[in-house]
This record gives sequence, structure tokens and C-alpha cells, in this order.
Amino acid sequence: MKLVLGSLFLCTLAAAQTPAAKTPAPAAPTKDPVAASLRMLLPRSQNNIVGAVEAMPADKFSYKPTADQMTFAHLVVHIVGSNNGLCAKVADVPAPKVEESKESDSKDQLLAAVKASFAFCSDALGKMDDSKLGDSVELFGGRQFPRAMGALGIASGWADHYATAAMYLRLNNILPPSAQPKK
Amino acid sequence: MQRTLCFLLLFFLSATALLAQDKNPVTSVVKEILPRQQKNLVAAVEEMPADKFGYKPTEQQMTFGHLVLHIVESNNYLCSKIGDIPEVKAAAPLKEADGKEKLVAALKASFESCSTALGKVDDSKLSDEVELFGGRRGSRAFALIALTNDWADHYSSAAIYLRLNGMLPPTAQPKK
Repeated sequence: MKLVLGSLFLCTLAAAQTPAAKTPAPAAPTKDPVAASLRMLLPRSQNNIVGAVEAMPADKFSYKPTADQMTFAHLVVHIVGSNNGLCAKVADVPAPKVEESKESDSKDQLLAAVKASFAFCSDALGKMDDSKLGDSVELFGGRQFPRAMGALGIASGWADHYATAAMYLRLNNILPPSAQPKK
Repeated sequence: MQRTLCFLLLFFLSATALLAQDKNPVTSVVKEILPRQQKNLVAAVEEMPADKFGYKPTEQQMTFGHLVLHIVESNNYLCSKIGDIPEVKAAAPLKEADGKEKLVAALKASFESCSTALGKVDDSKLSDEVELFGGRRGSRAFALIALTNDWADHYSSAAIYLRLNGMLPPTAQPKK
């Protein structure tokens, strides 16, 4: 679990490990540091979250730890919606025109949707720069926020959702991807 | 649980003060997020009974006390780098077995340190290189994103620990 909960630490470590980071001399200032940070965080978040969805058996997608909590399938639907909605807003590109995922969708359908949502985020964030972070955009509940809120929100969402998915896996005696031995 | 997992949405909704065009949108957003995350995380730790700080959902997971220790260390370390301020160091190293009272106090102090640190940064410093983990370096923007990610990650975990002990986490409790 220490490995799981510390995944963000590891993620940060891995993402920050650039050739420039190994040299003692200060590197040139990062251009578009927020967009660059999101692009660094995306691949590992994608690997972990997609890996977690793949690791959960199909017959456990209706699992929830307590009666009041959401099912694993609902969590996946939430991740897909968050990725598609927020990455579009953050990068100022149109949201993908996809059929809305449902909690009752099969594992295969939900897995495909979560993969597609990360592919969309990867493409969208590739086009993002930091020049529009102060612009007001519609985010949650139809309300206006600075685009920076969406940028931090998408990264926080990945952290929050992976922590939850990892816990659901643990409670089903399955090691989450970040806790599995290196191959 | 839906309310719990969507707590991010709630704090975004509360951030109405950020509507006006801001020349420091990123650091302003982090400063806006801090009080809500501080409130939720401190309340979650205060809610857990002292005799449950040794609880862990499965054998391989960390105890609740260890989770709190991890949050404290993460706050103190990252915020010292973000704000170029000295890292908060206790006279004696904090331990997960130190007990609820000591861990709650350390958690509160770590958020105070973050508040001080965030008061010293604006968006002109986002590209600056700062030390991250293991001596590696990254942009200050990366450190800020890591900090808000940690708050989200840690609150998610704390909330589930509470749920598994039959308690509602702070964000899921009815409004008073």
C-alpha cells in the first residue's frame, strides 16, 4: 500500500527525470511549465489507471466497498467523462463526440472508453500552452473558472481516481499496477 | 461515495472568487484550493478515532497513522521547495505511532507551512527549477501540481479508510 499511496511521489520522480535534471547546472526555464507538467504526468497516470481497469475482473465492475459508495464501473464512467470534458476545456479544443459511457456497459466497452479518453487527452494536451490559463472557461456545473482550475483539476482527478481504483483492487485482493513488481 | 469522489468538483464550485481575470491564475487557483483541502484533510484525520490510527484496510497497506505521517511529510517537503522556505522539522522525527493528538498537530502545522509558502509565489516563478524528489529537479509548476495531486490522492484514501470504519468522510456529511 505504501507503494500505491506513494505512486504520486514515484510518478513525480519518474516524470521529472529528464536528462537535464541530472546535470548540476540550472536548465533553461521550462516553456509552458504547466502544460509541460501535464504532458509529463499523463503517460504514467494513463498506464496506472488503464492498468487498474484492466486488472479488475469483469464480474467485479459492480463492486463497491460500502453501500454508499460508487461501483467500480461508475468510477470508470466518471474517469472517462472527466478526461473528455476537462482535457477539452484545458486545451481549448472541442470535446470528442463519443457516446456517453454507462455504468451498465461491459468491461470491454468501459476499457475502450477509458483508453480513448486518455488518447484524446494526450492529443489535446499536446496542443496546449500556458498562454490561456487565465481565460475564463465553463467548467463544473456550467460555471466559469480560470482555465488554470481545469489544468490542476485534470491532474488532481488522475491522482484521486487512481487512489480510489487502487483501493477497490486491494479490497479484492488484487495488487494495483503501481504496487506490482517491476517486470 | 459519489459526493466523496466528487469533492474536487465541490471545491471548484466554491472557488467563485477566481472568476475575474487574474494575472496569476495558477498560483491563485492553488491558494484557493488550499483552505478547502486543509479543512477536509484535517477534519478527516480528526474524525478517525484515536484507537483506529493503527487501522489498515488490508495487510499490505499503510496504517491510517502512516497515511497522516505521509501527508505531513509531503506538505512540509513540497511546500518548502515551492516557497523557498525552510522545511518544517520537528525536534524529534514524527512517527506513525506518535498518537492522534501529535499527528493532528503536525498536520495542521504542515498546512500552515504550505499557506506561508504559497504566499511567496506568483506565476512569474512557475518556470523556475526547484528540487523535487531524490535530488531531481523540475519546474515550480510541476511541484505545485504534485502538491494539489497529493491532496487529492491523500483525501481519497483517508475518506475510504473512514468509510471502511463506518464513518462518513467530511465531504459526504450533510451540510450543517
